[in-house]
Amino acid sequence: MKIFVLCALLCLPLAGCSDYRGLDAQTIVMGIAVDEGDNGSLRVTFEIVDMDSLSSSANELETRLLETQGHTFTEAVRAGNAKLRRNMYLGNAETVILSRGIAQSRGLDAITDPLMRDNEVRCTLILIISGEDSARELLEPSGMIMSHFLTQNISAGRVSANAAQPQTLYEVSEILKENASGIALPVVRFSDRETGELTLDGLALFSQGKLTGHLGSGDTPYYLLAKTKLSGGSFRLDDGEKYAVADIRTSVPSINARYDGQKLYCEVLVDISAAAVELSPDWGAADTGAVHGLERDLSAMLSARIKSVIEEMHREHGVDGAGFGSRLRARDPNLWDELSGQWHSLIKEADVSVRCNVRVNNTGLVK
Amino acid sequence: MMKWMNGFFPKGADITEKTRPPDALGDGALTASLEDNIALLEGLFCDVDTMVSRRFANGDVRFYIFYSDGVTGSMMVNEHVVEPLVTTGLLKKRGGAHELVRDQILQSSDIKESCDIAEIIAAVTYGDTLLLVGDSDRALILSSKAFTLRGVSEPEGEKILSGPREGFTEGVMTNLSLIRRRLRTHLLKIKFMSMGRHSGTTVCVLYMDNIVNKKLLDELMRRLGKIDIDCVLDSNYLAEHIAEKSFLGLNTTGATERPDVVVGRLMEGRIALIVDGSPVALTVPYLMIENFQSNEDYYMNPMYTGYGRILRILCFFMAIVIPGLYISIVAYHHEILPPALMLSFAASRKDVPLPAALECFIMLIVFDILRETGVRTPNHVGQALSIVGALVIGSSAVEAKLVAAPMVIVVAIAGITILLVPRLTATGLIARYMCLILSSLLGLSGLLIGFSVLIIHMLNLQTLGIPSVLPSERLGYQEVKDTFMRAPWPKMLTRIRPMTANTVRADSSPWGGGK
Repeated sequence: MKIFVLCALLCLPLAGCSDYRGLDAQTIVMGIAVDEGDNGSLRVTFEIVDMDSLSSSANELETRLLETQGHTFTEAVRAGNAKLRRNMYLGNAETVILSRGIAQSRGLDAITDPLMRDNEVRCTLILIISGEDSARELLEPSGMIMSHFLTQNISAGRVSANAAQPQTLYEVSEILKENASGIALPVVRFSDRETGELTLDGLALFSQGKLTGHLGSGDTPYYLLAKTKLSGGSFRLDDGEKYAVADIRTSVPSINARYDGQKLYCEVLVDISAAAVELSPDWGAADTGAVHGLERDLSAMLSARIKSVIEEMHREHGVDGAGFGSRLRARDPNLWDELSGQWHSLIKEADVSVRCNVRVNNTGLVK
Repeated sequence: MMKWMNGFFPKGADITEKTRPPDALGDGALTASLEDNIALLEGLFCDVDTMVSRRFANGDVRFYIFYSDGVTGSMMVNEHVVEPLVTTGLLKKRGGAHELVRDQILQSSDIKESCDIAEIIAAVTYGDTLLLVGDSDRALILSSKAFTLRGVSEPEGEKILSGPREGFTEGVMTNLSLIRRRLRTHLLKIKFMSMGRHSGTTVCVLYMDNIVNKKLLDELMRRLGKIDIDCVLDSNYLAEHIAEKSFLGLNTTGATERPDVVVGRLMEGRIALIVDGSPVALTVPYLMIENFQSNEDYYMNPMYTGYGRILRILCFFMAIVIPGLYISIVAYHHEILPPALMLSFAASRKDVPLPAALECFIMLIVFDILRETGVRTPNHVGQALSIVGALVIGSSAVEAKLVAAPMVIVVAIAGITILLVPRLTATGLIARYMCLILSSLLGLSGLLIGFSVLIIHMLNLQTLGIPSVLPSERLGYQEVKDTFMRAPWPKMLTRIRPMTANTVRADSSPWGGGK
């Protein structure tokens, strides 16, 4: 026992300290923007904390941009380190912004693969597509840590149908590895460049890791209803004569994919619990029958819109945004093995059916 | 061996032999010659100027009294020993003077006879008066102790908001009186023994005869019997002899200056040791949870005191873990920190010359120096010291960029939290530095290794042969009723089994009932 303890103690100097890194001995990277560089290379911009501006008061914190180029992401990081006194630390990076050009030409793999392999980078880092001409532009406004600001803005409405649904590095990487579904990443641009005000400009659609299309911001909420559980957001029903606004309390989608040997059938069922927050007088909401009528109309309207959006994604962009491929792969792996090669052609011809069940639980009549 | 020790010690444990002074005592007994006995005593106490002796006679009977000034009441000797012996007319009868003096003349309720020199020396040096009557080979030892002792006061180290405020003093009999007053039953057993070859310190063993586990009592006596030391000045001398070894300094003997605490523990089946000259009583067995208990817990609302106890437990582990955790995070695992906090830490560490681990060691040592200095200095100096300390290791050091501001907070939390558990200060310090060293070398893995060592050691620790944590090896309500929280008194129905054969409180009547 004593010899074991002695050996363990002697091993301590060998085992430890090699990973010791002082916080002040590294350059903290808060965000990364990737654009197309010269001759097919990557132009990577790092938003780094200006260590010389650091003081005990976080209010005085300033960042600066460091731009490097490399044929691969790793090369670009090394080139960046060569320009700095202290090596970059990517563990606190919160956002990676990709330009549409790089997303189209190099695809997501070129960025997500080195990031996933790096032991520093957080898997919860979010991926954003720039709605501006370049990805770097989103990091340019001064006076704030733009990456942090972007993350805060985008993550704030994560469960709402009317907000962006950021995808984390881990989620994107898993989908890419699975290669069974498409990916939709939020597109962000400035609504006012002077004030740094941001707006969500729909979703960028990816098939097999490469940008293939764009879903407008008006269609995005209907896509999200089919894609993910929500607990926020509102929808307007307007048939020209009367109107209603419903607030989503909870929305739970379930999807299914069937193949009959010739055709693919994609089914979506969405259970929505909602509150009517605004009704035109024509509805007569005190009447139970009127509430049922509202539920029926909302269900029909949402079913039609969701179906339209999914069919558009399938047919125009060839993107399985809702994840029918993943569902089929999980339920019937053998069938998936047969169909995976022709999935992208199957999905374009797929028959989509959507059923929405809306329950209006609250019409605000208590007051 | 003295009579009261018969059957009390295991064979081979002869306390009298161990406490016998190593000087030449002749054959160790008085002879039938007064002059020879006087010569022996005066020879033994040669160059001891506090000794008082006087020869006198009444008729044909010669007397010799011998006592130590300062510990003996000379007025009492004059009035109740010398005066009756000089003025009595009974001694005109011939023969049997020794018995006559003992039975009819001396006005003392406590008279012992002895021919053993060691016993005589122990008695005389402890304030008794020795009386030699004629050529008798036996001496009369008359109780005439008169010490100057500190009065009963509230112990400084165990102050409470509510409850009795009496504390032990340095006098063993005073301390016993404080306990006896609270336990007026014949079932409270009080056994004296003598420890220390030179000091001959009186040690008192107390237990409730109907509650104590006799196996544990035998084990304690066996351990006490093995002690061979020249001098016992404080109860800690014994504590270190009878305690189980703990490389983290965990206590396996309880120490308190409060008689109510001792009585409470006696009623739970524990055994108390009171050492003459020490205001600190020992109690064994000592469970781990006792480190976090306060006697106040039993005098106030259990919900309120339970909250305090949980805080103490939490603070003990915080004091150990926090410095190591901080170093692990800022030196190895930055990714744990939210970005805003990380930037704040990075900002504070900028321009600090020392690595975080070294900075932490230095700050903790500086804090310990200040704490130790504060303990040893008078109150008014201590206040000034705390101000200087706060300025030096606080704002000035941060402004001078010698240390980072979060480090001051970490050290302050670690330093303050351990003060909440004063009985575990030593363990807190050792375990804290252990975790800090391991964290500095291995990051969070090191911290977990250090913390695991602490927990495993705590779980393996024994006190008087029984587990210090979970002694009953059960987790029933009655077993945990006085751990993290204290149950209300009506719900405190049983005692913990290994410490007592009599587990039922309600049946443990003063008449020896109970299971």
